Amino acid sequence: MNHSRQWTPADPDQPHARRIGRRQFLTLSARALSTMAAASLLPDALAASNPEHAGDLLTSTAGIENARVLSQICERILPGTDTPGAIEAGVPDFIAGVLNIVYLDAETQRFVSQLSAFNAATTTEYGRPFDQLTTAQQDNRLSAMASDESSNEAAFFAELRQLTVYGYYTSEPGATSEHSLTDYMAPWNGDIAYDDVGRMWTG
Amino acid sequence: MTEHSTAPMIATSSEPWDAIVVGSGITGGFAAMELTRRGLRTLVLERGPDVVHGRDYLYEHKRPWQMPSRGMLQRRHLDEVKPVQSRTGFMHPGMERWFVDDTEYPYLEDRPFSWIRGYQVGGRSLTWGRQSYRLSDLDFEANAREGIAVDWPIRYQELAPWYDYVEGIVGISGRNEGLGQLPDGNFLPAMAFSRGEEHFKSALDAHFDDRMMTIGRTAVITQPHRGRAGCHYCGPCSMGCSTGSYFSSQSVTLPAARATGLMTLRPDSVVESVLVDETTQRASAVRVIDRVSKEVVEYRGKLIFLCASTIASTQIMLNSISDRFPNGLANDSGALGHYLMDHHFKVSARGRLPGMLDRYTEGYRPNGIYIPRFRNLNKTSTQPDFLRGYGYQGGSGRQSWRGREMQGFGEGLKDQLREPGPWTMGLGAFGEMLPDAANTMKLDAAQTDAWGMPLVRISCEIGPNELAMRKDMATNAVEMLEAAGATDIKSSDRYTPGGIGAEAGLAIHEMGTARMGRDPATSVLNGFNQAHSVANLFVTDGSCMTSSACQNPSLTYMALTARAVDYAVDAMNRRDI
Repeated sequence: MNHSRQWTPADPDQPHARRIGRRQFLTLSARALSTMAAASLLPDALAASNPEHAGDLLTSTAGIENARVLSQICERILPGTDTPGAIEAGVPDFIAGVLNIVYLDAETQRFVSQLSAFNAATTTEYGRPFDQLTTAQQDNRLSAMASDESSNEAAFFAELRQLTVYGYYTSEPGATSEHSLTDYMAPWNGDIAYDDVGRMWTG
Repeated sequence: MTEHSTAPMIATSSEPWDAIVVGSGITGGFAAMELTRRGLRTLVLERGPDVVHGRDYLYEHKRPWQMPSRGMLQRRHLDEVKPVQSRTGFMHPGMERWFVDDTEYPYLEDRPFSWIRGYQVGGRSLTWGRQSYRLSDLDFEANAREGIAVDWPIRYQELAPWYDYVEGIVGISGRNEGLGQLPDGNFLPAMAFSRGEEHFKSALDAHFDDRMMTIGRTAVITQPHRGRAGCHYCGPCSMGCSTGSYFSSQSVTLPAARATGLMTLRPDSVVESVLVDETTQRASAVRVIDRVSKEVVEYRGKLIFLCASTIASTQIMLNSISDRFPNGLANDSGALGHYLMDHHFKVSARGRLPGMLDRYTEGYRPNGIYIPRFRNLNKTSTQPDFLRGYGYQGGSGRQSWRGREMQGFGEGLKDQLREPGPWTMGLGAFGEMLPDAANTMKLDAAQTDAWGMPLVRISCEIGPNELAMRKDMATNAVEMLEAAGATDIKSSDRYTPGGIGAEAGLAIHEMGTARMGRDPATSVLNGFNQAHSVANLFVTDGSCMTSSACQNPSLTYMALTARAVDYAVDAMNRRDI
């Protein structure tokens, strides 16, 4: 039996293989292109701590800034390599959906406060906001965040990583490029050679 | 009736039905099939809306990215609308709608008791775990042997042919093992173990003389069976299975009943009570409140089968008050509403199995392993601290990215999550809960639901025997994993006194409250699930159970149902009913 599920690089004409710049991403966010049932806009979601920004969309300064920061965090957690990164996989929009649909209002407000605080601390330390740092600086900042047990930054990093990982591997670009697509008609086999698959099954 | 009248309009259907079945779940569907096959014009009443096989399985074969919110639900909705049903952890877009809104169907908990319900055509047969095990005489004789509660009025030999019959229709895959405590059955080919399970089984055989492991016996067919396609291993059965590979009322019993032309199925029919003819002392009719219009309708029937599920059937009987039965229908004994049981569970352990990283699995097997009961079988396995026993369910596979421990971020994290993790093995125990008169459900007349039914008030909790058993469950799970060379073993017992996590009801194996017994003075039903004092009333769902055993109970409910129908129709034909 042939179990091979060779992954092939994505067709460059496929949507998820396109490189999307930050400006373009924000536009995409604003158009709510995502698989979320009722995804709203990322900047909108990230302005949620301030009710007067609700509905301000791209005119919401706080929302736009937080959206840039969150998108860059996601991208550094799961960067684009020979397979799509978090932004290309639509992870920021997925998180926007979580904040708007899944989380309780208090959780969303807490999340946005922590994100703002993270960026404020970053700006104090580096002299510019997180999304304007070099990738090396961003990685250093995230490493410090992940290991900072003295504040709540480490727990917030764990939450961001969990959301990013979930959003990425349940997205079509992430799942199909990194994992082997399960066949819904494959018979159960409890003992196959791993090399015949070569990577994790989607799921 | 004038337009100013507040009295409900009661429409009475003219022709009496040969049989009325209350409920369309796993026992109601079976009763409907058996009754119609015996030629009876049968009315099936289901309190919830209709669910059409196939058409209504909205998320079958959907990829994660095709799911609303990737399978996550709004927490506020769950907190506010489904606070009890959410305790199961089963809330997902594909399953959530098969569980009731707690706001619409309230009940009262004196102590935490999770009453998990599926009010729709097919009931919980759409979402059940499908594990199907026979009880044995170890179970049927236990109460009499130990002087607990009352004796079962039947023994295994009386039920065995009905297990054979039901298994033949349902389609159970499994392996015969020749065990006294877990009788063999009429099985379709067993599903295979995973490599990790083979490893674990070898260790179990090498280190323990008193126990063994078999593949789960599950109501999922492994080859074409009676017009249904064999399982194609797509994964989550409870998203719905349009090939009918797992047994449900929709896939098997209701179509069979419908094919006779003798079944009428009425959804949206909340049964308020069963009416009794005081002169004949027979059940004469069922009073229904339309779920949507609230119209009251009475249906006359010659034979009444209550299959509304444990608690719900007893709720109807307790609400059926008459001069003859002032304390509830067929409740001469006072036992009605008492001896509520569940299985106690949420004692589990998991560990990492060594090596085998060149091996993997393919497909999603809707089944796990089973370690049958090995405690208190005989003198050598007698336990000083507790009566009865428990079985383990579990399984082994390689870790996916979900719930995996992660290191760092960046390309390294991608590398970690590209490959499956190590093999892990998990075990979770299901233990027997002793029948106790203090574990009750009653009606609270002061509070009613949207249809005017008094709310159920439940007072139920596990006792000292179960608590002692749980220690043994945890210890043995860890010991077996250690024997298999597992590392990083973590065990947990989620029970806390008065807390949520392993409260009664959560196993969704609730049973008892209208128990079978030999003596009308101490039980509600006889050995044929027939009410001692109402000859044409049968209760064949989990309400009838005299003890709980530790095996998943639905197969037994179905066998009892088929046997009760056979008895009832024969008695009708003899004009004994």
